[in-house]
Amino acid sequence: MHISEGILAWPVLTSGAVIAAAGTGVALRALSEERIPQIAILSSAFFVASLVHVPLGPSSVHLILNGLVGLLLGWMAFPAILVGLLLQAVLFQFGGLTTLGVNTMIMAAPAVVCHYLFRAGVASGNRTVSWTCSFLCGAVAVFLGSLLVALSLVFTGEAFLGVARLVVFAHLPVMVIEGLITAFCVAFLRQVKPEILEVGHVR
Amino acid sequence: MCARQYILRAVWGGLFSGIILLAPGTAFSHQVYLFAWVEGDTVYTESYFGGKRKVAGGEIRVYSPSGKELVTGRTDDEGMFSFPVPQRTDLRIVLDASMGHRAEFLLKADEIPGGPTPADEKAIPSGNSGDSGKDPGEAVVPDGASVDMEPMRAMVEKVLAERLQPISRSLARLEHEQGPGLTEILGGLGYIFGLMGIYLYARSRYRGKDRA
Repeated sequence: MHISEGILAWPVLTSGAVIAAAGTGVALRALSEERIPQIAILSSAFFVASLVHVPLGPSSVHLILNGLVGLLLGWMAFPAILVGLLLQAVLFQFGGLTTLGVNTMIMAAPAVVCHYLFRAGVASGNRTVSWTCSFLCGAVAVFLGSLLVALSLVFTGEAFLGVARLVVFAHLPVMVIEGLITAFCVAFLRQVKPEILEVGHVR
Repeated sequence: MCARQYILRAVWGGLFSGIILLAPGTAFSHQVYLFAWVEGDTVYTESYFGGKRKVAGGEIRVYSPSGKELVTGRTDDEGMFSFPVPQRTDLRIVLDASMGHRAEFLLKADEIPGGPTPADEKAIPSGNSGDSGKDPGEAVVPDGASVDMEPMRAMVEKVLAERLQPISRSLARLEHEQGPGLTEILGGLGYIFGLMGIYLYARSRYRGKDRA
C-alpha cells in the first residue's frame, strides 16, 4: 500500500502532505503524556507489520494494521503512522520521503474513520458484537486505504475503476487477515487490559 | 476463579506473542526489485517483489541518458523481459509493477560488451581522438592479424558471456537487493522508543521547571 517515489504528480503529493500535516496537527494538539507509550507501541507494531508478507493475491501485499492502530489511538494514529512510515522509508526503502505525506494520508485517514465507526461497537458488552466490530474495523480500514491508493493513482492517468478493482482485489486477503488480527487483539485486550477499550477512555 | 482466569490469560498471551514473534520471520515483503544484465547482444531483465515473487505483466520502459524512450514491453509470467541492446550507452530501465510499485535499474555503458561506443547517442560527448572509450587491445593489433582475431574474439566473448552469466546475474541481484535485515528492524524499533523517551524527557523537564 506504499506508493513509491516518482509516480504521483506533485498536486497529489502536496495535497496528501497537507492532509497528513493537518491530521498530525490535530493529534498533537490533543496529545497527552500518558498516551505516549501506547502510541509508541502501536507505531512499532505498524512499523514491523509491513514486513509480514501475505502470499496470496496477484500482487505483493503485506499487513498494514491501520485498523488496529486507529481503533486504539483515534487521531493519534496520524503521528504513529507518520513515524512508522518515515522509518520504513528510511530503513526499508518502502514508499519514500516525497510520498511520505500521501502514504500517511492513505493509511491514517481510514484509521481515524474506523475509530469513530467501530469504537462503540468494539467496546460493547456483547462478545459477538464486539468481535464483529473489531473484525470490520480491521477490514474496512484496509478497504478504505486501498480506495485512497486508487484515488491517488487516478491523477496519474489510470482509470479509477480499473485501478480500484485491482488494488481492492489485491488487498482482499489482507482485509480478512487484518480483520482476524484486530478481532484477536481486541479479544486479548478484553482479557488483560479492558480499560483500554472503554468508550469513555480519554483521547 | 484465579486459576481459570490465569490459564485463559496465559493462553491468550502465548498466542499473541506467538503471532508477534513468528511474523517477521515469514518473509520480507513488498519492495519491488528490478535488475538487468547483458548477455551478448541482449539485455535481460528480471523483476520480482521482495519475498521472491515474480512480477508478471509489469511494464518495462528503457530510456537513453537523454531521456528518450527506447524500448517498452511487459514482463512474462517469470518476471523476465529481454530486448536487443538498443544502443551502447547507459540505459535507464524502469519497471512499473502497477498499484504504485516502481523500480529502476541503471545499466552502465561499460557493462554492455561489444567494443567502442558508436555515435548513435548524441547526448554522450564522443571525443574522436583515441580516448578512454576505445579498447586499448584493439589499437595495438596490426591490421593483418585482426582479420584472424575477429572470429576468435567473438567466440571467446560468447563463451565468456555464457560462463559469466550466472555471476553477473547474482552480482546484479546483490547490488540491488537490500531487503531489511534484523539490524534495520531493531534499529527502527529503537528509534520509535527513543523518540518516545526524548518526548517524555522533554516534557518532564518542562514540568520540573513549572514546579520550581
